[in-house]
Amino acid sequence: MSAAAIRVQGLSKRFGSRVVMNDLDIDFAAGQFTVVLGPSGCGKSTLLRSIAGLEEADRGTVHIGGADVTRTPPQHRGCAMVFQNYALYPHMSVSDNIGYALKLAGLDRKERERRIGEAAELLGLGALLDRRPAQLSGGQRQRVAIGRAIARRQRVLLFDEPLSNLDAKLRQEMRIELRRLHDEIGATTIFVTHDQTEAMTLADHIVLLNNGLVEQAGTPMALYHQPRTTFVAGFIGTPPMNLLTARHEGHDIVVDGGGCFPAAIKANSSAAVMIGIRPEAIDLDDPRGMAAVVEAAEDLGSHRVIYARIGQQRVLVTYSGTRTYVRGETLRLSFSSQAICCFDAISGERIEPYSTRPASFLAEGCQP
Amino acid sequence: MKSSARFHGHWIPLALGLPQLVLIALFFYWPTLKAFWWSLHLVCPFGNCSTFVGLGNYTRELTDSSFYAALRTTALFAAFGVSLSIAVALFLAAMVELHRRTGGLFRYLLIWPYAVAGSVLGVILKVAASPSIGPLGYLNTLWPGFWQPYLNGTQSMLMVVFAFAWTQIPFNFIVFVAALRAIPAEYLAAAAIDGADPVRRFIDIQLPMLKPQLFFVATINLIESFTNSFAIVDTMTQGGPGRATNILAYKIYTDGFIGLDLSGSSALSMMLMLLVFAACFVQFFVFERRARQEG
Repeated sequence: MSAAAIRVQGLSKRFGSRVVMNDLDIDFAAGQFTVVLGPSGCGKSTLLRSIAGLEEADRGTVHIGGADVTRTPPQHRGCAMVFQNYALYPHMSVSDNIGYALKLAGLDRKERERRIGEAAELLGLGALLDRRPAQLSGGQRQRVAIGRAIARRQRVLLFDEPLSNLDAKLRQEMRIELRRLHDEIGATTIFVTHDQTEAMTLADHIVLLNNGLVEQAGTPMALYHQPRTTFVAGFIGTPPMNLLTARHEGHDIVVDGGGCFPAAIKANSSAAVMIGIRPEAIDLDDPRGMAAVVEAAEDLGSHRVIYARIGQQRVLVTYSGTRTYVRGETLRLSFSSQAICCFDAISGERIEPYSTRPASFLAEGCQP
Repeated sequence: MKSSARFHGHWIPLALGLPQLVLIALFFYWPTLKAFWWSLHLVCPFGNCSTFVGLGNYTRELTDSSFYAALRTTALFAAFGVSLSIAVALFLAAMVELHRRTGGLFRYLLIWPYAVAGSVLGVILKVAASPSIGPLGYLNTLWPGFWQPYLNGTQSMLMVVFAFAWTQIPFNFIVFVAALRAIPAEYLAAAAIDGADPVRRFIDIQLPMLKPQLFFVATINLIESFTNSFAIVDTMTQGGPGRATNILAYKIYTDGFIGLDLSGSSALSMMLMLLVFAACFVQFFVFERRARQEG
């Protein structure tokens, strides 16, 4: 089995008047684990089903391994898939579920049993092979569905929100297992999810979709640290990036409600901008920092999430120290200007600063 | 499911159910009891006198070779009639389901025949199968003497089996289409991904999931072939030629109303009822239970 690159070009689909895929051009590199991420209704499942051949796009082409499969029925595309509700055949045992595709592929009984055994061992299903899906727990069904997909050793593995029906603990275990499986198998993997944690932990490459368009594609770290738009900034990270409204004045950025810092960006003077700052990049006890009032604090043991207000704007700060903060207390927030992302307030797109003075901190009032 | 309305006391529900209960009692239970009573007596041809004979009527029928001939004909008719009804309805339902988008129109077209009255259908089929004027009569222009449903026992059986299937197919079709629609599309998608073409998907996924409906429809068709087949045989062949299509239901009628052997035909109808009960019993206690366990 070798991995195959997948390329979709100009893929469009509308259901009635709703556009779910708007002229998508995406390359999925061979052997890579790509996560297609986005809120519900962004077109990510439709994209996956179009690649699998379960959905016919209105326009555009799908290539798998260099071959145009746009008009190929799903059974001839060479994809394996794990469905959100697992779609295990209820009238077949676990081993028949896993072996069905192998039987159709014309493998003899001995080879089939060997492959089923392998998949079962890889996923710890050995004791369950004779059971029916109805006799399994959610997590076990999930494993069987994955076993069914990997036993075929296809070039392409597709996952449609496979972890969304599992509880949090199981989801975490399966994440690690899926990544391990991918590293062992090496097939081209496309994984659709709305959960940014899954995307961050699993992906080599993330494609973030919004309203049928690619909002940003890149490595998890690129999306985390250099979000292209405010949508990406708000979608990636738990808690997500803080977005504060501000104005660009001269060589400074003035945050509404207090505070400013020097930054030169390619924007008109007095233009409205948004600044984005990660909760963990904020220092909350800098004497020169800007005032913020604590509204609430969540103690998670390992760290605290503090909800504060600068004027009318909410700011989340994560803090791993031991000091507790109480409601009504005043914090002094500051952050390195390099940790800041600037966005156009209207288009939401990122504006690259052309000069930032390192080690400049937010303070009450900038020097003229 | 919770019942949405609740009655206090027993009188209102009983009163509401009364018309139906009276009808059933008058036209089903009473005649059944009457037939049972007759089957234990030797009754005069016009029912005005009777002598108790115990199981005499039953032993008389059970030692009569014409009873076994009618039983054989019934079994043959039921076997071919039911399998044809199911096979054709299943094929049509699968075809409609394969094209869910365009299938809608054909679904309605194929359900329509269900609304045609039985006697109208009998006349239509009688004309259609007529050796001299119907479309099948054309066969006799090509090969003179080939299509003779009123002389050739096999052909007349073929004709009534076809007519019977025609009456059952729309009902079966409705049940199968509804059942196929209820199968989650994900299973078929998974099978397609697993490499199954539409035919394999039907055989490996849809058909096993249709099992409860298949058993249900088979039972209904079987009961119909025991009882409602009377009208078809009566309009088309009157049990002939010879006794080639003389099924049990028709024999009961001819023995009772033409042969005026009311006792014997009552005993026969009791035995036919036992067959129907047996079919129901198998459906409810064997197939249904198994289907529930598997689901």
